[in-house]
Amino acid sequence: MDYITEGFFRALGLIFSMNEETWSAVRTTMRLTMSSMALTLLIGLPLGFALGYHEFRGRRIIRTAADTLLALPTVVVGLIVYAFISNRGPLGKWQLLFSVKGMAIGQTILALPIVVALTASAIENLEERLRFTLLTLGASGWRMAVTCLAESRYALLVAAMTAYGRIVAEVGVSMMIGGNIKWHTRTITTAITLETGKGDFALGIALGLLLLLISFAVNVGLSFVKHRTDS
Amino acid sequence: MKNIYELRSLTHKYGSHATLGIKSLDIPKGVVGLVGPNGSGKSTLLKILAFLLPYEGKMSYCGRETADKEREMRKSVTLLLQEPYLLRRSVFENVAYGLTLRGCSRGETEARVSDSLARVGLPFGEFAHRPWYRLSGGEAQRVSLASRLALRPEVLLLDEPTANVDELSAAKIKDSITKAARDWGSTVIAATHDLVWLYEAATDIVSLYEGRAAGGAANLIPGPWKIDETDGRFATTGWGCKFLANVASGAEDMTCAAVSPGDITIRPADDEGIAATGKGFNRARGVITQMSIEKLSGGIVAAVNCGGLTFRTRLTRGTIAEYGLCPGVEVDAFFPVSSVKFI
Ligand SMILES: Nc1ncnc2c1ncn2[C@@H]1O[C@H](COP(=O)(O)OP(=O)(O)OP(=O)(O)O)[C@@H](O)[C@H]1O
Ligand SMILES: [Mg+2]
Repeated sequence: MDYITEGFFRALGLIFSMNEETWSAVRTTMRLTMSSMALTLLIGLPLGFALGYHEFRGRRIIRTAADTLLALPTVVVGLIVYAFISNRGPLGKWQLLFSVKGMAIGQTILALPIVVALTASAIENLEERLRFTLLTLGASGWRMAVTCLAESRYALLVAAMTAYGRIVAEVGVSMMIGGNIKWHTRTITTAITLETGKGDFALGIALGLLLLLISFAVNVGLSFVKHRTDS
Repeated sequence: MKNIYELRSLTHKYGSHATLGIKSLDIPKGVVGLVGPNGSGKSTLLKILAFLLPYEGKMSYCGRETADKEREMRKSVTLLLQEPYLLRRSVFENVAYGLTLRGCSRGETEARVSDSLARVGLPFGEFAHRPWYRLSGGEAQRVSLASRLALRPEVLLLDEPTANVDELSAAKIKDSITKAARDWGSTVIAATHDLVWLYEAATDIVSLYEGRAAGGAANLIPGPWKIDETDGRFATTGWGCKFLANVASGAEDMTCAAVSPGDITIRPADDEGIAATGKGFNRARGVITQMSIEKLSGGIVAAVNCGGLTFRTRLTRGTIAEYGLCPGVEVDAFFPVSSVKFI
C-alpha cells in the first residue's frame, strides 16, 4: 500500500516542482490532443451533419459503419496508420512515423467515429420545425448547416467531451506511431506505461494524476462554454 | 395580375395518405383566410405555398411556374408555423436571423428588429436581449411573428397565428398582420378559426375539407355524393336532408361540393314556403348561429347551422329588418341545384 501513498505525495511534488522531462511529456500531450481534437471536429462536424441531414442511398450503411467504428481498438488504428505511414507504406515519403503529426492522424481516426456518429444523431433528432423555420427565413446551404449545428450545441459539446476522453486516455496509437521517444513523442500515457513497466509505480501514479488534472481542466473549460451559451 | 397563386391539379401525399387534392384554386392578392376543420389540410397547403413541401401538379406564383424556382421564390414568401420554433438565441438574434441572411447592414437590422418588435407589441428594451427560454407562450408566438414581419415579405403565410394566445396578444397579432398588409402591400394568407376577425379583415376566404379547396368563401357540402336512382342527379343525404347536384361534366370524383354564399337565400322557417320551391332548388332547415360584419362588402354575413353543416350567406340590412333575422332564429336556406359545384 505504501507505494500508492508515496506515489500520491510524489505526484504533488512533481506537479509543483515539475521537472523538465515530465513537463515535456505534458506539453506533448497537450499539443497532440489539441491538434487531434481540432482535426476531428473540423472533419467530423460537417461529415456528421451531412450524414444526419441528408437522405441518400447508402446512408444507413454509413451510419452503421460509423457506429461500429466507435468500438475500434486503439492498437488496430495504430497498426493501420503505421502500415500507411511507415517508410514502405503509401504515405511513407511524408515521414510521419514517430512524429506528433502522425500520432495526431491516428488519434483523429480514433475519435472521428464518435464525433460523426453523435453529431449525426443530434442532427437527426432536430425537429422538422427547425428545418422549416430556417428555410422559410431564407437559409440554405452552409448557413443552414451552421445554424443546425449551433441549435444542437449541447449534444455536440457532449460529443466533443466524449471524443476528448478517448483521445487523452489512449496509449495504443501514441505508442505505436509515436514510439515513446523522450523529449519528442513521449506523452503522459506512454510515460505511465514505461514507468510502470520499469516498476516505478509512484511516478506512474503521479503522471496519472497529472493526466486527470488536464482532463479535468479541459472539461471545466467546456462546461464553462456550455454554461455561457446557456444564459 | 390579380392572383398571387394559381394551383391546378395539385396533390400532396404523406406516404400513401393523400392529404391534398386540389383541382383548381386561385388565391388572389390581399388578405386571404383559410378555413376548414382539423385535419382538412390547412397546414399542408400553407407549407406548399411556402415552398417547403414537395407536391405533384402545377402551381404558379405571381404568374410564374414555380417548378425548380422554389429556392428563389422562397425569398419573398415566409410562413409562421402552427407551432412556431424559436432559435436557441436571444429575441434580437431570432428576429435578426433572416435579415442577416439577406445581408442587411447592422444599423438597418437594428432598426427593423425594433420596428418588428414594436409591431407585435413587445418593447425593444424589455425583450430584445431576453433568451429564448424566458418568454411566455404568447410572447414566443409574437417573437416568431416579428421575425417574419422583419423580412417585409411579399406573401406572409400564417398558420393559426392567434391560437393558444390570450385575447390581448391575439389583438396585437391581428393588428400587426393588418398593418403589414396595409404598409407593405403584403399578401396575407392565414389559416384561422377566428371567423369574426376573418370576415372583418379578409378580402377572400378559401374553404378546405379533406384536402379539397374552394375560394370565394364557398360553403362546402361533403359527400358521399351518389347518383340518385329516382332523380338521375347526384344526391347526398348525410346532413339530415337531401341535397342535389347536377351531374357534373369534368369533375371525376364527387367527394365534396361547394356553394357560393351569393347563391344562398334564407327566409324564416315556413313549411308552406318550403313546399312551394320547385325542383330546381335545394332547401335545408337550420338555425342562425352567428352574424358578423363583412368589411369588404359592408354587408352582414350570417352562419346557418343545418344539421351540423354550416352555410354562410350575405344579407342586406333590409332583409334582416324585414324578416327579423338574428342569431337563434329558425330559417330555411335555399340554393339552386345548378349552383352546386364539385371541387
Ligand atoms: N407529418 C405528417 N405525416 C403524416 N401525415 C400528416 C403529417 N402532417 C399532417 N398529416 C395528415 O395530413 C392531413 C392534413 O393535416 P394538416 O396538418 O394539413 O391539417 P390542418 O388543417 O392544418 O389541421 P389542424 O386544424 O388540426 O391544424 C391530416 O389528415 C393529417 O393526419
Ligand atoms: Mg394545422
